Amino acid sequence: MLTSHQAHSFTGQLHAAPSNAVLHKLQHIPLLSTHHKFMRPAITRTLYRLLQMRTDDACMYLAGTKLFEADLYDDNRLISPQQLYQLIHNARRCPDPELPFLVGQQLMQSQEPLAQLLMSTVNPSQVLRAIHSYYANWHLPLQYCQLNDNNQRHLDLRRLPASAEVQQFFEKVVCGGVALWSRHHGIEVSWYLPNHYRAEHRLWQRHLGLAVHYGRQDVRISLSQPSVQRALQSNTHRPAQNMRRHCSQLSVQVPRGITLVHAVYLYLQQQPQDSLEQVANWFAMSASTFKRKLKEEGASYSKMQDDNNRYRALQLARDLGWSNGQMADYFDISDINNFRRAFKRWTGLKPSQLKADYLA
Amino acid sequence: MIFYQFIQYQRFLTRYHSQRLMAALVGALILAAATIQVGSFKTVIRWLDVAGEGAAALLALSWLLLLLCARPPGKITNLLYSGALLYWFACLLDLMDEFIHYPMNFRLFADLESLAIPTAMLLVTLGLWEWLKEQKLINRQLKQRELVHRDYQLLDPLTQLYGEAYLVQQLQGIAQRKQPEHCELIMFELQVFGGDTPSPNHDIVCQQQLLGQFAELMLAMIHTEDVLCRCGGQRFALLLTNVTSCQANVQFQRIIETVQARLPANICRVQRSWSGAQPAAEFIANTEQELQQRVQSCQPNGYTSRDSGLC
Repeated sequence: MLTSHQAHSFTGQLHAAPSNAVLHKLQHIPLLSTHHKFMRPAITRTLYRLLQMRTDDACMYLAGTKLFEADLYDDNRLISPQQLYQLIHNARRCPDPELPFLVGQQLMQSQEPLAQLLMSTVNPSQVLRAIHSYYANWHLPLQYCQLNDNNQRHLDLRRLPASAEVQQFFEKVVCGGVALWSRHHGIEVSWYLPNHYRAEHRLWQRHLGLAVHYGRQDVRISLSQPSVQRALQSNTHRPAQNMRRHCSQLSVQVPRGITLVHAVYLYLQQQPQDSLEQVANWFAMSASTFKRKLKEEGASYSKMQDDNNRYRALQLARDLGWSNGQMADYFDISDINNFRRAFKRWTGLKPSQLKADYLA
Repeated sequence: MIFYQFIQYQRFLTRYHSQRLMAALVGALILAAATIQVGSFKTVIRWLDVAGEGAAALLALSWLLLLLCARPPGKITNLLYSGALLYWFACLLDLMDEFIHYPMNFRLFADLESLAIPTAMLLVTLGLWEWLKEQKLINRQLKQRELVHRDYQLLDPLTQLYGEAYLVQQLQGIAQRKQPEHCELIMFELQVFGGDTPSPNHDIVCQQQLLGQFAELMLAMIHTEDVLCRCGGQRFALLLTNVTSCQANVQFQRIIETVQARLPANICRVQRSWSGAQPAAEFIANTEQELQQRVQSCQPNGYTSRDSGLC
């Protein structure tokens, strides 16, 4: 559990009230739809290459993607996230459950400038900064949150609304990539996974090692700080400037922008309790247009808000050990009983149950 | 996706069996034209009979097509094809009967219909007999991949070896025998390269190809009564039957040395004896857990060093 000092600093980071900088930045980023073609086909190509090795007629996996094989090998050709999601959906028919992990590992070992930059960087903060800065290179539909402890640095993967199979695919991709990166630098990692992954325990253990635990609602990757320090001391190599330049060049080759869903999540991190009308107004849309656009992406504002609250409530209760009163204040709920009910609606558990589970 | 699969089958058919398909089509057209030419249309049609016989004709045609989709050209394919084709023709004549009335003194089609089915059955039986002989040889080819069961859904698409679920079934099958054989299970993880450092020429795709090559090399080395399975990742399991623990160890060491001479790979392994007392799934899970621990203890980053060879 975190110390109170850390808890405060963490809260500050979380609650960072309308950090004007973030919202101002967000206001100037064009919004994209997952039907727009703005992604480079790096992930799609990697997945397709792995599928090709597993069947004689891999082109059948392209059914419904509106892509031809040649499109995947043309870096100038952009694709939409929906096309990638369709390929992921089709790839379910391939009887190899390891594919997402292999995609993650392959991405990290590829000649992609971002992959090379990440693999040559030891400092986790710099890795996250690189991912954030050059997000346009891969457009992984996942968000992450960082949390520092005395001995561990936690990285929580948060899902953006997409189908469960797409979410799980990308969680495995990221875990596969992080596992490779941590092994490469000799960094010890513990993995905390949602319970529904328990059925595939041996698959996870095979790719991530023995330190796999369950019981969380999101995926948490915990890096051991002493091992990070050791790796930093032993690594004198600094990522070359030209890798960053390559990443920047690739980033500017694709249309600038983020998806509406991603933007709403970023907004919610700053203004968690805003109503739909307020958010729609901020995005310069009418409430009905805003709702319709989210619906087109398979999302709804209330669900996203609940998801955001769920994540925060779990962090505050479990990681920071806040009392119900503190949390009720945080969520602007005046009555403790109302807060308990809201907590149960978000997380499926009462605060006392959650704490008992955690202690157990 | 199903549409794409159909296209693949259609490509296979047009590539290998276009003449057979054409012959079937022309034959059916001639038959239909001849019946119409000779007979006259019936005034009363029994639609229930039409539905029944029409369905039988359609299913016979689907058998013919599935057969051609499944097999490359050859003697057995020709026998089975001829039998299935004749059967389809017989069904077609049966269907035409429902619409066409033949003259009383014209017996050709009725005789053809009567003779076609037994001839078709005979040809199919001959084809199946030949197929049996062919299958025995193919079973021999597959012996190191499968011992007791066959279940294509459990195949690993990368190496064409069976997976872990199959290994569990295999052990259960052995345990259920009256006199269970003594088995030695060697589970091992290999690392094709010295480290997981990204290298321009050695990416995961290369490693995956090498896994396939490794599996082929192993299959060439092991005995026909042994089974090699892939347990995911770079992890394999070799099941040796009727050998002592020491013999299995020596045998595996010899195989690995030969394989390593052709394909540089580091191996970390665990060997366990199995007599059927423990549930198969639990036994394999425990063995894999042990292997995982050993892999992690071999080196801080979880892999054996290139020099260490066997761990």
